This record gives sequence, structure tokens and C-alpha cells, in this order.
Amino acid sequence: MPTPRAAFALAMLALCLSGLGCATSDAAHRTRALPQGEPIAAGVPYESDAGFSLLPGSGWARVPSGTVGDTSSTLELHDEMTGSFVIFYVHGSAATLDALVANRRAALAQSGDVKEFQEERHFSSRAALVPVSTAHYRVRSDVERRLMVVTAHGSERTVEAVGLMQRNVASELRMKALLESLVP
Amino acid sequence: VRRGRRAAPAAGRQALAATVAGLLALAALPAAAAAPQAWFHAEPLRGAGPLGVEPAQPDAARRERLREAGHGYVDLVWNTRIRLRADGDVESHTVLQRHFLSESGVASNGNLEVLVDAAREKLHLDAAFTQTRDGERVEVPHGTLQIGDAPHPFVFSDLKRVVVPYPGLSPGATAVLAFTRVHHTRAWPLPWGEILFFQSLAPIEAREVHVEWDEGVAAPRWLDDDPALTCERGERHVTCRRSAVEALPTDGAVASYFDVVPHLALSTATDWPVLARRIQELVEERARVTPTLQARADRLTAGALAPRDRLERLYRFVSDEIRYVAMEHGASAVIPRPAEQTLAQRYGDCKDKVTLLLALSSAAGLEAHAVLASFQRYELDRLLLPESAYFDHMIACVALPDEPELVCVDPTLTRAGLELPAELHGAVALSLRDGPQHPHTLPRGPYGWDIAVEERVEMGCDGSARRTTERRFAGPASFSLRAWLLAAPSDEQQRFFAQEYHDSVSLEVTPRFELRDLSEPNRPFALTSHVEERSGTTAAVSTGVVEHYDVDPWLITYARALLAENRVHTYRMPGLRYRAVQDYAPCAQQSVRFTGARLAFRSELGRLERHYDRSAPGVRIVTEFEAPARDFTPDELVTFRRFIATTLGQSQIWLSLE
Repeated sequence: MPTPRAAFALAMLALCLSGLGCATSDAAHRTRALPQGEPIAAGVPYESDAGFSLLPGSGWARVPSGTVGDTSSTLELHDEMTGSFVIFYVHGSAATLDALVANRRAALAQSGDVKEFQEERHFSSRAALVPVSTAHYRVRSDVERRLMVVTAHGSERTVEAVGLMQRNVASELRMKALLESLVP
Repeated sequence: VRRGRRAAPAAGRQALAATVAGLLALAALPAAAAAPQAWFHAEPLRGAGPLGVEPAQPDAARRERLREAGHGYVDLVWNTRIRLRADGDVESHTVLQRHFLSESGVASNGNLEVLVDAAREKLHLDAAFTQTRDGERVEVPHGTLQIGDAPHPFVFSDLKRVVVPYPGLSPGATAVLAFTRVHHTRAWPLPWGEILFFQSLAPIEAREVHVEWDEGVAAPRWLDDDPALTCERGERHVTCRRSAVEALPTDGAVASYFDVVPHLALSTATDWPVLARRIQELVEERARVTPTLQARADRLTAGALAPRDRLERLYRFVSDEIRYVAMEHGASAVIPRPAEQTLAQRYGDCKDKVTLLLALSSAAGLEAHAVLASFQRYELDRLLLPESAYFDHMIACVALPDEPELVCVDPTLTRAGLELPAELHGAVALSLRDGPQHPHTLPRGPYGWDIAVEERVEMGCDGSARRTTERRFAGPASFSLRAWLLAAPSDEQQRFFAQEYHDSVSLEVTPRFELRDLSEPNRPFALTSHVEERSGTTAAVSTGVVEHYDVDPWLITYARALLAENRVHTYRMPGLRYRAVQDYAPCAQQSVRFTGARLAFRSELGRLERHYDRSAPGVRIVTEFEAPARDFTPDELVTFRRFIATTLGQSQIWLSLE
């Protein structure tokens, strides 16, 4: 019987508690194995089925939708080097950054005590005049979790990427590099 | 050449209409009917002139297409014939046939107007009649011709307008006007020249300009920038034609239609340096320092050692204490009055004030020169030939020791600092100084508007807020607002501010406004408002936690004001620099838990940056927005609109309080 990685279990727990909507219970997650990820090529643009793109570094693998989030996610990626996860959600272009950031913040506040919240907005470095929100959270419930949520508002869709990281610099840098490459 | 202070470029369309055709439709008639005038003759009014007046027959299908396109009239024929006579005078004949397509065209364009400079021109109306829809010819009665002065409250000149009200007009009728004008050029101090347009705000079926010169007369120079124009040259004539000319498209915000309408320039000036030298002589001759001027300069600059201070004092005197009145009769239209006369009269037009400033500067040991400029032209390559008519204003530039750039000032303004108004930034100019001079453009600053906001918000625990906001206005575009405020009674000022507040912030309250530093030209003028908001934008989100949402209405108002809806012509965006410092003080029972997004939007079009500083008591929010002045094509304007919409859309202020 395969044993779930500690990072996987931790990540699932955290994301479920963060209001992302888990299809199964924590217990089920804890006893379920991490599905085998499908590696994605590093250094070349990755076009998602939903129309957004990324420029991933090495070590990222695609896992089935619902592995960490619920089935409403569009794409889920796992960083096999650090154990981080990213879940992508696609919203219509009418969804504003203000509304999505507020909703995510409220959802996280329901899952635990939000100890830290810092947000920056800027233009995408890969698409002209596309505003991007990058929010950093530190949330405390039974464990302390760090999340990076990047929301990019394009003319056709708004994409929200929720990243759950380990508490180390390498995780943060790799997550930042991936999410900053998001083009909605 | 009129160098009177022109209206703002916003009035460019009217100015174009007047200049393009020389024929401006008027809604109301002047009061005085035609009386005998030395410069005007209209008897008999049944002639034809050398060009003939047989009405052209409009093509029915094209006429219908133009009507459906919304045109009220079409000029079937617009011909000009110019003759440079051996006696030195210039004779020009014009015939215009205006065919009306709609009732509205008749209502708003049923009068034709001819502008004439009575001091140096003679006008003869050769023919004026209506060809009715039924083919009947109805003459304009001589007694209905109207003569008036070109209206301007502070400009007095020999410029007259003759208005021809056409009888019996209805859609399908044609108004025919033929006139002859003789320019007496011999006594005029500047070389003759003329600018002729081949497009106007209405469609033209046939436009022709024929120029001929008598034997022994030097051929004028001519040049055009109209790719659709065909010109043929004979031994002593040139003829240029265009047909089926579409109406010049209008647009949302056009700095100058003169920069977009094609033209033919005729000039007898040798070259730009010679023309500049000639006008320089006219100015410098009248800027000679007399004992009276020297004494005045000494008194004004007493105790001021630094050259900039000396200039500042002289400029303040000429700008603020010599009022603007233009008496441009005869050659005074182009020759300034002697500086001492302007000093004695305490009034003058732009060139009089510049000449006085030059004289005082010279007396004070400053090196200054005059510069011709234009409020209505920004495209240097549209200045085809040496022609003073391209310019409508005069300013002064001073070379101060130890300052690398010339300091250029416009003494026609009042209460302005040592910089030019926004309308002259990037405008075409001709320096009147030693050395060979050619046209150039005046420097264009990056920010027409420079606005700083300081706000203190005292937040009540019940969601109320007490807000004190000070806005400070600087930058060359603020000159006209300052001038308007200086002239406006205080109740009108309050109404203006209240309207702006209601449009930008809230209809629910009307703050009391206080103005400061309006008369201090070297300081931004400040406007302070105090307001108490009963119910704020604070909402409880959970036990002990409330969230406060806010916007910066002035950022939104001023940044949105940069936008234009141009679809055809280039938009000259004036540029804005905006900085707001907002201090939010929560009520005693609350503290700031989290703050909203740090903004770092940067693009080649500008930037919006914000940070929240929690080192201060409460929280200080510093917002900076910059969009440097720039010309946008309609396509580029779409991108700029997106930049503004995107950045402003992300500018919400948010605080989480507990």
C-alpha cells in the first residue's frame, strides 16, 4: 500500500480548510495516495485547456483535477522538488480582482486565523496591461500554512492560482517563478 | 497677421471654419446694416466678377448621398484667383456656390461672411444671389448687407466682417457669392503671403486656386502639403485644383485643425532668416531703453541680485500690472508700440508687453529676445514657406547666466510663474534673435497638470468619517484655471467647486471650500474642503473585525480627464502627475490589522504606485500616478484608455480594522 507523502497530506488538509472545497474528507485524503503526476516540460510555455498559459521551471507535474482542490479546479500542479501545490481556477472576465481577492481572503479567514496578509498588484510581465494580484497569506489553524495566491485579470478570463508552499525560500522562489508567468 | 491673444484651442473648430473658407455662417445678424465705407463697395450687386457665377448643377445622386451622410450643405464651387499686380498690390477674386441639402443646413449656414482688414484691403461684392430650387434668381438686397467688427472684448482692430443674409433659401437652393479684394501691400511692413485651404468642414465639389503675376513681378513661392492637389505651372501663373473633397472629419479633442487640414502656402518672403530678421528689427526698434525705462527697471530690480530674481520682478510687473488691451489698427497689427508708450498707458497686447519686457530686461542687464509662437499649430512640417501668418502670438525668452536652458515666459498671462502656458508647450515658434533663424517647436513639459492631495480622515467607531482634503494645483495647464478663479466672484467659485465635488465625490454633502495662494504665482494654489460623512464605507465582517473600503475620487477624476474619444485625428494628451497622501486615523477602539494592495503598475504609458505606511499613527496611504504628455493616434488611444481603466480599476483603498 503506497503511503501518502507528508507534504501531500498537509497540503490537502490546508487547502480543504481554506475553503477551496474538497470533495472528500480529510481522513480520506490522509489515506489516499498521491496520484502519479504527469511531468510538464520546463522552459516552454504550457497552454492549459482553459486557455491560460504558464512558463514552468523544472520539476512541476500535472495531477488530476480534484487531487488537492475540488473538481471545479481547472488545473492542479505539484512541485515534486518541494512538495508545493498549485490549484488553478478560471472565472469569467467580469470577475474583478477586488472581488476575487476579497472572497479568497474571507474563505481563508473561515478556515483559521489569518496572521498575515500582504498583497501587491502590478502588470503581468508577459502580457501587456494585464493586471495581476499577488497575495501572500500566513494562516494558523492546527498548523501554520503559507499560501501565495495569484489572480490575473485578462480580457477573456480571470485566472486564480492558489499555491500552497512549504516554509522555505526554495518553495517560495519556485512558486513565485511559476505564478508570475501566468497569462490569463 | 493678428497676434492678439487667441481663445483656447478648444475653439479651434470655429477658428478653422472662419479661416478655411473665410466665410463663416452666422446664426444672428449684426446690428448695423451696410453704410458707405471707403474700404467696401457693393453697387451694383448684380455683377459676376471675373470668375463667373453661373450656378453649377449638382449631381443628384451625390447630393443625396451627402444629405444622407448628414451634411447640411455642399460647396459646389469655391474658386480663388489671385493676381500680383505690377503696382505691388494683390488682387483676389473669390466665388463661392453653396448648395443647401437640408433645413438645418439652411438654418445654420444661410448667411455667408467675408472678413476684411479695412486698413489695407478694399472689398467689392461682385454678386450675391440665391438660385432657388425652381431656378429663380433672387438677388440679395444691398440694404440687407450687414457690416460689423470682428468681436473680441479686448481686441480692437480694422478687421471687419461683411455678412450676406441670403433670401429665399430652402433645401435645393444655392447661395452664390462673388467678391474682389485688393490688398494694399506697399505700405505693409512685412512681405505678402497667403495660406489657402482646400478642405473645410463641409464637402466641396470643386476647389480651384489660380495665382498669376504681372510681367516684371517676381513669381511668388508656393508649396502645398495636399497629396490630392494637382497643380499646373505656366509662364506667369500656377493653377491648383481638387475635386470631390470630403468634409474634414471632426473629432473629440483636436489641439489644432490647422495641423490637419491641407493647405497651399504662397509667399513673397525670401527665406525664414530674412523674415525673422525683419520682424526682429520691428520689435527691437521699439524696445530701445530710454531713461524712463531704465529708471523703471532700476526701481523694479532694486535689491535683487540674482538674474532669475531680476527677471521675476520685471515679468511680474509686465504680466500683472500692464493689462491686456490690443489696439491693432493699421500696421499696429504687426508692429509693437514703443515700450515707453506701453509703460505709460499701462496696457498693451502680446507684442507690446513682450517689447516692454525686452526693454526692461535689457535695462536690467538681461539678455532677452522675442519669439513668435502659435496657439494653434504644433506640427513643424506644416509650416511650408516663410509666412508670418502661421503665428498668432508673441512671447519672450531670456538667457539667464548659469542656466543652460532659455527661460521663456508669456507676459500676456497674469499671475503665472516663469513658464509657458500648456497651450504653447510644443507649439511652433520663430525666435527673433541674432543669427539665421528657422521655425522650431517650444519645449513640451511632461506634465500639464501637477496635482498634489493631502487628506486626513478621522474615522469614527460608528462608521462615520471626518475628512479634510487639500488639493494643490500646479503645472502649465493650471494657469487658465487660476486665471478664471482670480476673475470669478467667490460665490461663483463656490458653485464651481461644489459642482466638481458633486460630480467626483458625492451628491449627498456640499463641503465648504477655502482657497489659498491664488495670487501667489510661484506657488501652487490650494483648495481645502471639510466634510463629515455620517455613514462611511465601513462594514463589519466578523466579530471585532470591520473592513473599510474607499476610493480616491480625485485620482479617478483627474486621470479620467486625460482621456479623449478621438477616432480620426491625433490626440495631444497634456500629461498628469498626481500624488496623494492620505492619513487615516481609526477611532480609539480600533487598530489597523491589514491594509490593501501595494500598487506597482508601470508601463511605458505611465505608472500608478501606492504603498500603505503603518509606521505613522493609523495608516498613511501614498499614491502616485503619472502619465507624461504624449501624442496618441486613435489606435494608441485605445491602449491608453485601457491603461487608465485598468489602473484606476485597481485603485480601491482597503483597510481591515479590529
